Formats: sequence, C-alpha cells, structure tokens
Amino acid sequence: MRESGELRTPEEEFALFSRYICGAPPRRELAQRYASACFRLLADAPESKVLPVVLSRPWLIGPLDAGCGILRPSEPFRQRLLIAAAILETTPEFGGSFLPRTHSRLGLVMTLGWHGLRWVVNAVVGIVILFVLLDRFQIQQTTGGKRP
Amino acid sequence: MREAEFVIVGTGASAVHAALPLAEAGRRVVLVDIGQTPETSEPIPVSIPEEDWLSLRTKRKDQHRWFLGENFEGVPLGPVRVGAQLTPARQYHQRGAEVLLPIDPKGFAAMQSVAQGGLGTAWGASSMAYADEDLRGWPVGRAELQPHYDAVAQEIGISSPTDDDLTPLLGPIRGLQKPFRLDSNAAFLMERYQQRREGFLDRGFALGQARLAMLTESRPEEGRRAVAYEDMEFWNDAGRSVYRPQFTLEKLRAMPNVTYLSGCVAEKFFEQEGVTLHGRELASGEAFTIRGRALILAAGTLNTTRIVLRSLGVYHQPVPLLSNPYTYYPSLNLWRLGKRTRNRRHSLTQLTALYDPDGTRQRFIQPQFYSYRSLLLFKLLKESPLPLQQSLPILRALVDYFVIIGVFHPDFPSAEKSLLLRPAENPGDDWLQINYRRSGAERARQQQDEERLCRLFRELGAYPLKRVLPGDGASIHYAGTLPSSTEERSLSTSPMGRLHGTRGVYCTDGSVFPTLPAKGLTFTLMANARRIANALLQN
Repeated sequence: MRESGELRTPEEEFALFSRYICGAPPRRELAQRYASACFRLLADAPESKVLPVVLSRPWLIGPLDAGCGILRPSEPFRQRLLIAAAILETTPEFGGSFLPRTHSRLGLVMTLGWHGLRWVVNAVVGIVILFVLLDRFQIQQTTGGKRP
Repeated sequence: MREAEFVIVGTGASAVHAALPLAEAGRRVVLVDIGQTPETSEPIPVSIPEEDWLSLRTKRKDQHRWFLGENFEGVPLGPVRVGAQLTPARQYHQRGAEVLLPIDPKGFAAMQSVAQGGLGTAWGASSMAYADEDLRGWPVGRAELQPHYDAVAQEIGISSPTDDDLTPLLGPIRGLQKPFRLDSNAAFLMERYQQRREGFLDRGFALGQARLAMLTESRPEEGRRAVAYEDMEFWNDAGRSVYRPQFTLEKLRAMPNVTYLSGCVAEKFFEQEGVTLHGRELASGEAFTIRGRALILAAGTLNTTRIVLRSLGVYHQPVPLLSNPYTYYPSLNLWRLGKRTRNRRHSLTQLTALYDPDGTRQRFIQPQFYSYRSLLLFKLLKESPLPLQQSLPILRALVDYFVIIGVFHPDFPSAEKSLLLRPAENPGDDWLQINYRRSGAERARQQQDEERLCRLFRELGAYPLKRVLPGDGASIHYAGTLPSSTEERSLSTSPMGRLHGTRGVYCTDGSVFPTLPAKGLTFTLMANARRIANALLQN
C-alpha cells in the first residue's frame, strides 16, 4: 500500500480508473489523452479531498465514488472518473463496454438487483468514510494537522 | 458605397426565405452576415467519416476527435446546459458571438449565432404550422400564411404524416414527403397511444409523428439524400437530409443578381433616399455602407432588436421578450423493457404531442419525444448518483428504453420579460441587457400542466425519472421584441413587417411575433419572411 498523499502519475491514475470502470488497463496513449483532458477541463477545479485517498487505497474507489455520488456529485475525484469514462467510451477497445446491451426481462431484473445491492453496500461504506475524511480534512485545514 | 434593391441582414432561416422570392423575381439582393463556417472557425471541427453511429463507435480509433472534440469541448462536467445536443462539430456556430454581439443575460440563456445559416445550423428541424388559434393576437391569420407554408415546405422538404391526430391541429400543408420510419421506442409509444386513443383525446392530448424538415425522398438535383437512419444527425449529416438555411443560401449565391457579403457585422441603418446600412468588415476593421430601396433585418430576434434600438438611438428603454419555457423529462419506456431495439434510426425527435390543458385550444403545450443513444453514455453517467461501476451496467441495460421528453410551453408578453440596449463609449460596443422573469403564477401553471402531462406520459408507458429545468431561454426560441401590430406605435412592426416610423426597414425574424406558441417558431418565421418578401414585391 502506498502512503496516503503519495500521488500516482496520471498514467497510473488512469489505469486505476480504467480497471475500476471497464475491468482492464488502457494503452499508454489513452493515459496521455486523459491527462490532457484533465488539464484542460479541471484547471480551475478546487483541490480534491478524496483523490489522494483513492490513489493510495484503490479498493476505496467504489465506496468513495458511491458516497460522492450522493453527497458531493461535483467532487473533482468524480469528475476525473467521468473524464476517464468519456475517454474510454470513445475508443474501439473499450467502447463496447458502453454500448446498449439487451437483456431478457429476468436478466434485467437480476442486473438491476445485483448492481443495486452493490450500490447500497458501497454507498453505506462510502458515506461513512467520506464523513470521516471530510472531518479529518477540516481539522487539518484549521489546525495544520494537529488535533486540538 | 454599394447599392442594391434589397439589403438583407443575416443568412438564417428567415433571411434566406425572405431573399429567395426576391431573388427569383430578378431583384438585386445583397445578403450581409458574419458568416462563420466550420472552415473559418477556430478550432476547425474535425470532419466525420460518413458511416453509421455504431460502425464509427466500434471501428474508428480517432473517434474521440469528433465525439469529445479536439479540446474536449464535448465533455460537459457542469449541470445540464442549454443546447446539450450542440456537439463539438456544431459548436462553431456560436464561437465568438459573446464578443461580437455582447449581451448581459442576467441568467437567461441567450444563444446567438455568428454562423452562415444562423441558429438554423443547430435547428432540431421540427416544422409545425401555426393554426388560427395560435395566431390569436396576430395581425395575420393562417389563410395569409398558408401559401407560404406550402412554398417553404416544398423548398426545405418536410417528412410528415397527413392523416394522424395532429393534422387537424396543424392544418394541411401541401407537398409533404412521406413520414420517416419510427424508432423502436417511438413505435411502441405510438402503439400504446393508438390502443387508448379516445381517452387521450378526451383529455386534450394528441400524439403523432414529428413533422421534420428531413428528407425521406432524395433530391439529387440539390445534392440532398433521403435520411439514411445512421443516428448521426447531432454530429454530422453527410447526406444533407436535414434542412439547413445554408442550402438555400447556396442556391441564392448561384444567382447572378444576388451578392453575398460575409465577414461583415451590420451595426446601424439610417433612412435618406432609401435605407443605408452601416457596418464593419471583421478582417480589416473598415467601415462599409450599402444603400438599398428596402432593408430587411433578419439577423435573429436578439440581434435585429440590437440593430433597431441602436439605429433609433433608443437606449435604456425596455422592449418585450418572449421565449418558450422548456423542461426535460428523462423517462423510461417501462413496458418495452427486454425487447430488442432496431439499430437504424435518426437522432431527431420522433414523436410530437399537442396538449390542450384547458380544452380552450388557446394554450397548447408541445412535448417532443427523443430516444437517447448517439449523445454517448458518459453524459448520462454524469447525471446518475450511482457509482460508475454500478451505473454503467444499469444504464447499458436501460439506455435503449430511455425516452427524453422535452416540453415546450407557450409564452406571452409581460412587463417582467424584456430586453434593453445599454450604451457604450463606442456605439458598436453597446450591449443588450435581458431582464426576463416569469411570474409565480406562470411558473405554478407550468408545473401544474406538467404534473398532468406526466400522468399522460405514464399512461403511454414513458415513466419520467426526473424533472430537469435548464432555465429561462433554454428553448433557444426568442421572439416578440418588435411585435407586429395594426396600430402605428413605436418599436413595433406593421403586419407587413415594416418597422413603424420607418419607410423602408422591415423585420422578418422572430422579433415580429406578438406571442410565441409552443409549436416552435422556425417554420413559421420562414413562411412569414416569405410572406413579407412577397408583399414587398407586389408593392
């Protein structure tokens, strides 16, 4: 595990997000495209409180994405995920993961049920972590990291 | 100084349809506009290969260049914005407008175009004629507009049924092309409507296939092909099946009696031995003047009003402004779940309804039904509160059953909806200020009407998931600033479009509409421009 706050390169960050979204790592050229898109689109975005945490603990991407989706939908971490999704969607190798998929009605119910259940679990974990994280961040900002 | 019989400002929908009968009658016409094209804009949009959407998505390695844009301008991270269908390839039409045509919109979505073809370059192509009920308060009736509706329909090519439930509410139009093929979602909703038709009609809700300025029969002589159902209409239209004013402009430019001056900003006019238009050339910054027997202002409602107010020296004085209130309802076609979807489709609106909430036929509301696919899934992911790993498989499973319903409401003038011109040191830099606020009663009525509409949508099988209010002006329908009236009063126009107080200045765009029905204004402003031009010929 990496130390919290030790930032990954954009290539590593995008590879993490690509595995999270599509289950596979991208080619290098796509990572460059991702870095370029983040640079252009998030130049004025505020500092992300969540991103350093997910980069050092990749298993938290799902829960924190779920938590942010409910509590902080415009968190820069989530915006970076959306940029990664846009980059992946517009490639022939990952585009198939974004194309419509027809299920039978039973298959649809199972898909919705399974992913709905995962969402609930992720959201509960994510919201708790997010509260802890935001609380800690606030303390760090007001006391320079020392607890009063 | 250049001279012509008719000087026309703009090359949008109303400009070219005012110019066409004049040019065909052999009159000397000069068209003046800024005239940005994809080739003259910065950056130049990437040209998209002529293939269907699915093939591009699965095969092309460079697809990000047109789907996301060279500068990722196709990745919107903020809230739902106005003109979400303005994909990177079509964004050139407004690039630079904020500098050349300054506006302080005060929260109103004031979209202006500097493109050849004006806002018509991004038009959704819905072409519904106004009936006499819609023209209440107008100095002209349907009978006067009828021949011009017919002629415009012939010129632009409209695909439409002629015998559905909308036909009596829209009136007959001659020379229509056969209706397009509905996509799977729309065909299903239409079937459900037919099963419960009497009940819907009793409640003032009539559903029919959209009337679209889109060819279903090719016109090789015009270089236009019938719709190929490639689902690329928001990205490109290689076969030119969807009408754009540039097509009529091409025809005009081929006529020896027509001169087209692009790269020019029209600033003001004055009358003395005809009408003289002043402006400046963008490239050189030099002033130009053109004198004509008549000046036709067709620069779009906002810019026509700017030129009129500046020319008359009317600053700080509000004039009315109308814009159709607009709401989106992302909805799910619930009873179609699990059924297969046809790949071949077009991206524009499939179905249109007219809803008469009071049963008075005086205040129709227009919902339009789109299917969602070609605008890509990541934009839907942004709207979902679920984490990507869960929302992606869910949306993939559901996207074929999404129906986006856009609801247009009519608009009527009131003191709280206005615009005015603010002066600047350099007259060319003065700016429009928009003060558009709908009353609480108007908003409450809109909500009440939509609640009733949502019940009807659910009966059709389209279950609204969310109400999205993109804000005032979001319909990109602007009108009513110089309303047409039989009374001779300042800052209004005569029934023939002549600006009161002038002898030879005519307005032919949305600025002359006294009210703004929900049916969409483009088809009517083309017909009305043609009517005014014909009257000028007869005079």
